[in-house]
Formats: sequence, C-alpha cells, structure tokens
Amino acid sequence: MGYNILIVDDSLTARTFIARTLEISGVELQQVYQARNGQEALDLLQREWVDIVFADINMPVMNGLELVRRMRETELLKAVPVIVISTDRSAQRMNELKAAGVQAYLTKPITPEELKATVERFLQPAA
Amino acid sequence: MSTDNITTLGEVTVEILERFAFMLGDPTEEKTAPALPAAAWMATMQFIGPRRGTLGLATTAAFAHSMAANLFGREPGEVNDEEAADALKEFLNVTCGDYLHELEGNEPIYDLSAPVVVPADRAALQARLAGRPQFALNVEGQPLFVFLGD
Repeated sequence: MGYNILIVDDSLTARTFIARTLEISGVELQQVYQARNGQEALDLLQREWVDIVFADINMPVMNGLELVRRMRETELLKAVPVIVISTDRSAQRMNELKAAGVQAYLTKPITPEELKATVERFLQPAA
Repeated sequence: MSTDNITTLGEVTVEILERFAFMLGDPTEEKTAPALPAAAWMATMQFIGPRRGTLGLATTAAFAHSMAANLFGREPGEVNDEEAADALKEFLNVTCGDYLHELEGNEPIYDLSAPVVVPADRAALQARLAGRPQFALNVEGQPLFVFLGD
C-alpha cells in the first residue's frame, strides 16, 4: 500500500516531472492522479480518495488558489493537505495561499528530497 | 538591461537545464556562437512587476524533442511536437521564475504570462534578437539562444 497523490498543473511536462520526481523520491505510492486545472481536480476528488494534492497556481479554468478555497469549503476535502508547486516565489503570494489553506509552498524545479520531506511532514506512514 | 543581468540569466539557464531537464549547456563566446537555425522554435513569455520585459528562447525542434524525451523518460522519436513545445514552455517558465528570484528575491510580486511557442525562420529570429541582450549555449550539440526584450 502507499499514498494516493493528485498532481494539478496545466503543463503535461510539469505533471510528468513531479510524478517522476515522486517515483525517484522513494515515497510509497499507490496511485498518482493528474488533473489539468482546479476544476478537473475537484471533479476527480469527488470520485477518488486522495491523501495529498500538489498544485500549481496559474492555471486556466480554475487556478490553484480557487481550488484550495473550494476544497476548504467542502467537508470531505477540508483536511486534505495541499502543497503548491510554482515558479512564483513572492512572499505576498505565499501569505495569500497560506491564508486560503495551503499547507506548504515549493518552487520549481522541485527535488526528490523536497518532495519526500513534504509528504513525510504532512502524512502518517502509508499503511 | 545590464551585463550583470544577462550574466545572471546565463547562470540560471545552465542550472535549470541541468536540474529540470537533465541537460548540460556550454556557454559559447561570440566567435564560437552557433549559427541561428534556419527553422527554429521560439518560446517567449512576459513578466510584469518592478521590472517589465520579455524572456525568450530560440532553438531547434530537435532540442525541444530531446528535452521532452528526457523529461518524459522516452526516446526523442517517441515525443510528438505538442509534447516538445510543452516541455520548452515549462522550461522557459521555470527559468523565468528563477531568474526574477535571483535578481529581486522574494519580495516583489510578478505577473507572468503563459509561455507561447511559435515557429520562426532565420530572418525572423535575426530581427527579434537584433540589439537585444542575449547569449547562446551549446546543449548537447543543439543551439539554445536566450534573450531579453521589452
């Protein structure tokens, strides 16, 4: 068994990079889901249980900030950790995201060590 | 745009090439700079904040396919043009974010546009790069031109 992880980014390259970095990191994975924007992520979260979400900020249709706000308004998704992975490093943006309910913020390109440490920080060992 | 800025951009580009795309980029001198490709892919994006401008890349389709192949864990021949263009856009996006961070730190907010990729012939590239701060890298046998604009 391992974790169910959702990666949300409009770039196929970014999603693939994060998924491959997760594999390399040694994090125990059960299922890695991918979504191209916040709306696709919400649709998927209604069907599948996910342990942690890695999301970009700037995406068409629904951005990462709106995704987090919607998740925090939804009883079943309130406690799911959301980690933003973005190129935007401004302190003001990070504060805005934390206020909306984002647990942590990583900047691209992320490393396997950063991803593993983040998963271990927010999740109990996989059953 | 100062010489220091283009030097910083060069250092950031080489580092992101290695960390993100697992590729080695060799800086070239003016005398040894590669020729502009006859048929290129040009990727650009705008940044708006305390500084305002455009960051651009010009390279070959072969480079973009090699980068995508590295990122997706496939052979270059197994990558289609859409995937290769997406890889080039994401590389530009990451490079732009890192470049602005190196110049300005964490305080300023920048709005970054979505990167776009368009085909460009040599004449169009020459016109776009003329008089712009720029440098060229040799990346595993393929040219990569990086430039700043208004």
